[in-house]
Amino acid sequence: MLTGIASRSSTTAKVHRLFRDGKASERELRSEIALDTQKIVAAQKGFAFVSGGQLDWLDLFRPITECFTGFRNSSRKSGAFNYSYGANESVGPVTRWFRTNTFYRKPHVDFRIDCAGYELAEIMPDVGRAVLFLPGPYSFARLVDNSFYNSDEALAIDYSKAIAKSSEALRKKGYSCILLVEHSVGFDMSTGTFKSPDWFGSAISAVKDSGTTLGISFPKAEAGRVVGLADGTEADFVGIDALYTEDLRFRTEKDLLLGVVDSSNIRVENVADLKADIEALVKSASAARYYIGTNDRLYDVPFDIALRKIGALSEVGGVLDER
Amino acid sequence: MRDRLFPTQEVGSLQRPYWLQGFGRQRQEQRTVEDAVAWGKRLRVDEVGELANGSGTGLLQKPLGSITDADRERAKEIATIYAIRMQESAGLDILFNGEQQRTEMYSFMANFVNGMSEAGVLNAFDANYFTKFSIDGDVSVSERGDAFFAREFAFARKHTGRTLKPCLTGAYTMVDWSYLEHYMRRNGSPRADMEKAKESAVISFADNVVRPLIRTLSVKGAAMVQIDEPAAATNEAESRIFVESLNRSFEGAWNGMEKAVHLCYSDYRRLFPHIADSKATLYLIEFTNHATNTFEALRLFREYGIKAKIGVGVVDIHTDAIESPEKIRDDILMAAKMLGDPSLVSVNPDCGLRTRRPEIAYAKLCSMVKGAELARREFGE
Repeated sequence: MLTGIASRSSTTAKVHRLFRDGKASERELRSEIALDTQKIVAAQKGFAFVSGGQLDWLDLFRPITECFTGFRNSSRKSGAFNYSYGANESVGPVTRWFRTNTFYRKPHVDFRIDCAGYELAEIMPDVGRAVLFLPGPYSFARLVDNSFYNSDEALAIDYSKAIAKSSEALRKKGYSCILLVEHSVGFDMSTGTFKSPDWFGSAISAVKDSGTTLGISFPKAEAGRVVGLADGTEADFVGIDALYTEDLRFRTEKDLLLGVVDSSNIRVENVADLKADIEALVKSASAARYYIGTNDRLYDVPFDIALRKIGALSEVGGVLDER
Repeated sequence: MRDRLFPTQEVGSLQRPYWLQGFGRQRQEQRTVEDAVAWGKRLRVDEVGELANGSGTGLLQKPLGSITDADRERAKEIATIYAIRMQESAGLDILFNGEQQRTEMYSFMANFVNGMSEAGVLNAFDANYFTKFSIDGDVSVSERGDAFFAREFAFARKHTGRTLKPCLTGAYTMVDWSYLEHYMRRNGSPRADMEKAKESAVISFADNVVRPLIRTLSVKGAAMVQIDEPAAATNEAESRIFVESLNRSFEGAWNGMEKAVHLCYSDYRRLFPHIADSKATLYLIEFTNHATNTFEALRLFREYGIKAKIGVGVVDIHTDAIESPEKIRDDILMAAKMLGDPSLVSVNPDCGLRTRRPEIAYAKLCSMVKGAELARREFGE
């Protein structure tokens, strides 16, 4: 499966710029995004859970800032997600996305985070048995500004509860898997600032809903340092970054998502190499069941490369299934 | 005679004027032409008549189909003169051309480097996209690139008598924002491979692209050069490589050249202790967010005994609100106090004012100059 939002095609980029400049309509932009989404979905043959790449998300926080209450200058009133919502500067300052040349708008939490439950499902495309990527509660607490909650714990728990509230409607739309992506964990570990919060398990439990498969992934983190975080929670599987991991000897009580396709470089993996990497991982690590996927979001490689990488993943999945 | 305290400068880029943004692609509205003329007269741009005149032969008055490549180049040159006059009018001590002849800092530079090719378009934020390049061969600056930077500097030199600083995107940032296909060895662990590839690429870029360009600018008489490194303080594990790349790049500078480095929107503490070995003589840093890490970084500059000057960002490039001269004065005085030596303080916006409309950028620069004047008074100047 994929593990994060994907890039858009150069045609969509062009129309998006025209839309910004008032020279293309929202309908035209949506049409291009829909075409890209179709291509991404079509490439995921044999995937356990499919994603449309969340191509109309302006970053991993938008449209959460529109779907959930609690955020400063949220502009959504009702009805379907309007692509121009959340695009204005008032959402928050442009902020660097970790060690990349991409950015997100830092949301500001001004009051209690909540939702009715239907909002996220309403804006998601119907792509079959699907996975939805959301910031994990630790990363959420680290990446937003907050002037309402007295603690990261209270902030993270309410955010998690809002996700849980959305689960049923999401499942009805086909989103039977939620993957919480914890970008901040690996980053904070690399800077020596990570302190495992004692509320992490509670925040994950608050998301867990009986009918939804729940995963947590940890991009750019050494697997042996993060699988333990997931082990104490109600998550069904844990995603590791196999390209970042030096020591393959780790154990987890969860199912394991092996992030073996490199989302940071343009070289497209060949199937034989991928197969060898996966077999080495399965031999060294220990888990009950395995998924294979990308090590991070495919947002940092061009669209055509992303499609080819998804294709390689699909192909190696087929080879392994035959065994 | 000692240099005056708190010299002022822009960081590099200014927004292109409205009339240049659609020049040659869309018909100029009468209001845009009038604004261009009025703004030019206010800034005392002698060439304003070339844009619009009573006989209707100005560049902005030409029918769309008749605009030539030479017209486009001349329009950019006139925009450069506008940028220079704007900085002079605001009272800045050190100027550059506002980068009116460049599109942005990464792709623009990559286009002048042998060994780099376009990999594709990626989203930066909102509806802003950038072309990401792949390093797929040995890097070196192209003849076209060398000629461009020399010509760009010479043109600005011709139009002002004040100190000029050409700006170049640094090796670390250029490599950090690129794919490193040529340098990946595909053996050993992917993480270690990536780290080695990055180091090799950064050093090669410093040696073969930035250093030769600085040498060219030195030969052309530049008294100062600025290396832009927004990515520098994002990964503390690589701060040693960053500093080595700076030092290798500055080997192209003549003795006595002011060697500036611009850093922004990062945690500058990550650069320590390696930055103490840098040969840079000035760091221009973003400061107005007043994040704890920026204060801490100033303390560290002092603690490590670094004698380079610090250009404190006293103007926020992300808002239209004009900072008052008094607030700017206070920021300058605070930085002087933290560094323990007012002669180490220089004054600038957080980053290039390209994000703001020209009239806002101008107002901010004027306020910045007044703030520096107020700060000097505190020291009897």
